[in-house]
Amino acid sequence: MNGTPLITQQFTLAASQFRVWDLLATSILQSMPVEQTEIVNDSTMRGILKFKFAGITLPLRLQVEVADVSPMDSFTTLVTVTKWGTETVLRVKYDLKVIGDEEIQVNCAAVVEKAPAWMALVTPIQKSFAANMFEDIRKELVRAV
Amino acid sequence: MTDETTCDVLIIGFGGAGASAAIEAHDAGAEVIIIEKLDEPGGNTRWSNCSWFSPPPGTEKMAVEHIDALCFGRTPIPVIEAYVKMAGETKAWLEGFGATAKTTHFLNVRYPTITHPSWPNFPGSAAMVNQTVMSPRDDQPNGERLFQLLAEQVNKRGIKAITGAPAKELITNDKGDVIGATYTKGGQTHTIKARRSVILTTGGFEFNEEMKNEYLPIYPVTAIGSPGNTGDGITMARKLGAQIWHMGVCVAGFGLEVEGYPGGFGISFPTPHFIHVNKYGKRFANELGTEMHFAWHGVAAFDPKKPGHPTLPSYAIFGEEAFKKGAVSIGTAGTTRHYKWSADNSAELAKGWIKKADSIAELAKILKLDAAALEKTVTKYNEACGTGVDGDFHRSKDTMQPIKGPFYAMEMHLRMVNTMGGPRRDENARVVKPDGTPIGRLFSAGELGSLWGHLYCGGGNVGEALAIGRQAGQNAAKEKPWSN
Repeated sequence: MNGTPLITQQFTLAASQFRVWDLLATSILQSMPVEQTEIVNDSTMRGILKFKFAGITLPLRLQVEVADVSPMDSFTTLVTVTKWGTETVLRVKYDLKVIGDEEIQVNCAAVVEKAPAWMALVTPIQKSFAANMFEDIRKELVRAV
Repeated sequence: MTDETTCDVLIIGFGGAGASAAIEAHDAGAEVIIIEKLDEPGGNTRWSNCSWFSPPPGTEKMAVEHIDALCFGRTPIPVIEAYVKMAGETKAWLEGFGATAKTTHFLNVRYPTITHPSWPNFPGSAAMVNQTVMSPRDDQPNGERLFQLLAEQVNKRGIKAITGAPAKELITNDKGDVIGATYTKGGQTHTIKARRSVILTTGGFEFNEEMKNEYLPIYPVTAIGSPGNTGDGITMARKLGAQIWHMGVCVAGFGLEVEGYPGGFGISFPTPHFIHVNKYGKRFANELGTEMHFAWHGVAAFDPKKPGHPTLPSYAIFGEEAFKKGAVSIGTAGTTRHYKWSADNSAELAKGWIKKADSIAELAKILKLDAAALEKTVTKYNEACGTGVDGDFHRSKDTMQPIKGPFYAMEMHLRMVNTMGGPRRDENARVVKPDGTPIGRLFSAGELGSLWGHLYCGGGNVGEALAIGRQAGQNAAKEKPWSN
């Protein structure tokens, strides 16, 4: 499953690139259903992801590491989820594209870097979860800008 | 009784600046001795987050413009230019020792946060790029890794380092040139004569209560770094007529002080569902108006009707959202960083470091605050969250999140990282007098008499230790030996 695109999603915001960039990282964290977060080092955070589906909440160990930063243009994280001795790694990238004066397009893309084979069975659930998260990030950014 | 030793270059202080100076002076052909007050060397470099300024090639002019803007005209341009030039070479220098350096990217997901650059809206900020040395071990913070790398280079060169040896006085000749120093060890006074020069790298004055009270804009303020930083270099240089500068500049944020943990814990929330209130139960500043290092700017106000600072202590009031989202402390720097703060804050709640109540009135009672005032403050803040407009302190809309019960609180104090004051140095790292003329054969580097004249940019002091430490070492070794 290495390098398999999971989902892409985009939305636009009526704000400057500087403002969206400034809010991006905090909006991502604030939108994630995550608790018990702790800073491991300058670029790594851990926590418990409350993964919800079909009315069930499953706590998963989560690590978010900054993989690449191009200030004002893109922000990439490596998201590692651990449960039952298996590890899934997603590369999640947020690209900011200026499409007009005070108008920014945010392109969100999640790519599976590493996952156990059985994870393919739950890909629709993963996609749905990621889509909801990107939508929550959009809502938080709309509120915040 | 004193015994006497000689060397070419004597370095007083074995932290990042002293180590850098020693390596360069040695490599320039000088016989070097380092004396260090504490038994364990490392200075504030060891306790730091290990982020150091290293401007990318081609951005030097922007960096000078930025630092000049932060200094508010209090630091001559040539001094800034010398720093930027040397800092640009730091990464390659450290990598030559086998270090793995990488650009610092802070996860800006805390409230308040640490950002790089610290002052992104000031001109030239894009040049303020920091690097860090990654530790290969989880249990070794990057600051310790950096100092370990430097200390290994000092040892490899056979440079003599005498620890547990506080310097007492600089020795001068008839011309006023500095030709050595005395220190104590084992209850005896010893003398080291330096044929070429002496370099002061004794750090700041974070642990000198008298100096802090006299010079800093606000007091009391606790300190988190090396307890050896008691302003010794300031005292020694002042006796020789050095100009003392930047004594009012420091870096201090909010923290929790608890018994048994000197220096306490830096507090930074995982969500913005919190406010700070003063002794009257009222907000007093935009809680997120500055980067984490600079909270003291908002605390330094005083009440014209009452003595003392109404903000010391102050209180962080926060709700269940912030409590559940994660650890409210980030322990990446300072002497308590090996304490593992619980991710769900439960251990600290159980210890009583965090107070909890079902109502604001109950919380006020625990904190001994005026309940009506605190209730009014929280209600007003929560209402402002609904509109996104903080009419009182202009906190930005994105950070206006309401405080809902159960309610939590911590008593907050100022917690200092570093001071900038000390003997002024010129663009060649020479210590100078008020008329700008150098004191012969006396150099300085690092946090002591740092160039930061008003505001500070994160990574600036470790950056200065490595950059100006090297410069001081090179220049000190170039001095011609004196003769009797």
